Amino acid sequence: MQRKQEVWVVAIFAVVVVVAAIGAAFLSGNAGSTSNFKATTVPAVTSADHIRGNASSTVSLIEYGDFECPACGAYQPLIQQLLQQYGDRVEFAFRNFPLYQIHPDAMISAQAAEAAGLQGKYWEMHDLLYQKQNEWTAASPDTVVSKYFDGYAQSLGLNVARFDADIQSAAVKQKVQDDLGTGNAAQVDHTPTFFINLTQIPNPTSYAAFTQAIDAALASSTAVK
Amino acid sequence: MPPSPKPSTLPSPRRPLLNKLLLAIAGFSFVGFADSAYLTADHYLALPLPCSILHGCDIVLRSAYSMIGPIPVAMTGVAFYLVVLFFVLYLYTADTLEKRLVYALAGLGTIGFAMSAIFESIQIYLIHALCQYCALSALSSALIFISALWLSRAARKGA
Repeated sequence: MQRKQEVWVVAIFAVVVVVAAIGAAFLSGNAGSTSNFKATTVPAVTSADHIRGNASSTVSLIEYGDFECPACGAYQPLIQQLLQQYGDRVEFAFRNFPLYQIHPDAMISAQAAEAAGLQGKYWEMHDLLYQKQNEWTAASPDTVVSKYFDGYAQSLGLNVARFDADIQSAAVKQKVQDDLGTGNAAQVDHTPTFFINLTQIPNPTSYAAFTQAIDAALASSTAVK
Repeated sequence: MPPSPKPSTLPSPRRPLLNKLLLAIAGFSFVGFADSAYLTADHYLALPLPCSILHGCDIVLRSAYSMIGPIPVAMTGVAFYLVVLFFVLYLYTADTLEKRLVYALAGLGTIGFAMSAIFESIQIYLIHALCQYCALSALSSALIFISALWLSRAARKGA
C-alpha cells in the first residue's frame, strides 16, 4: 500500500515540478530563444540605415527583421511602445534580413519597403507591411505587388509606377543584400534579432524585459553608438 | 491458491513484463506532457518563437492549424498525456489488472497516435514546415501506441 502511495506522490510531484519550471522560465523571461544565443556584433548605424527616434543618441537599438515573419509582426507593437517611451533617448534602426528560405514573400516585401523609402515613406510602408501581414503573406511573390503592395503605396500617396520600378531596381535589391550581408556576418539566424549598442541581445519575451535591457544601456557610462 | 474470481483480471503481483510496459508508457506520456506543456505555455505566456532559418516551428505554431476552435492544439496534448499518465499509474497501482481497462488504454493510445499522424501530415502536406516540438510529441504518442498494443497483447495472453 505504501509503495502505491509513493508512486502517486512521485507522479503528481513530477507533474507539478514540470508545470512550475515551465511557468517560472516563461514568467522570468528566460525561455524560448536563448538556447542558441551568441552575443555577436554588427556594423554601426550609418546614413544608409533607416533610422527613427533620436539619431544623436548614445544608445542604439537595431532590429534585423523580415516582413513576412510572424514573430517580427508580433514584436511590432512592442517596438512602437518603445518608440513612444524612448523615442527621445534611443536611436532605432531596422535592417532587412529576409528569410527567403522559408518565407516566399520576404525578399519582395523588403524591396517594397526600400522602394517606398526612395519616395520618403520607408517607415510608413514598414509599419503598414507589418500591420497587414496576415493579408498579403498568402499571396505569391509574382502577384503580391500588384494585389497588395501597389494598394499600400497608393494609400501612402506614393507614385505607384515609380514604386513598381524601384522594387525591381538594382539599387533596391543591393540595399537588401547589403543588410542581409551584415546580418550573415553577425551570424544572425533568426528574426527578429535585436542589437543594443551593436551587441546582440536575447529576444526579450516581454515589454518589461525590453525596457530593462534599454535602461541598462542608457545607464551604462561606456555606451557606444 | 484460489482461482481469480474474475476471469478478465490478471492477479497481482503481475508478471514483470506488464509492469515494465506500464512504466514505459508512463515515461513516454510524461515526456509528451512536458513537451505539450511547454508549447502551451509558449502560446499563452511568451512572444512567438523567432522565425528561424533552421526550422519551421514559428510557421507551424502560428498557423491556422495550431488551434482547434479557441483551444491550442498543444493544450489538447497536455490533456491527452495527463489522462494517459494517470490512467497508467492507476493500472500500475491497482491490485488486479482488468483487461478491459488495458484495452481502453490501447484505444486511447490509438486515438492519440492517429491525432499525431494527422497533425504531422498537416505540417508536411499543408503547412510545408516541421516543428521539432511537435515531432517529439508525435514520437511520444507513437511509443505510447506501440507499448499499449504490446501491453494489451501481453495481457490477452496472460503474460
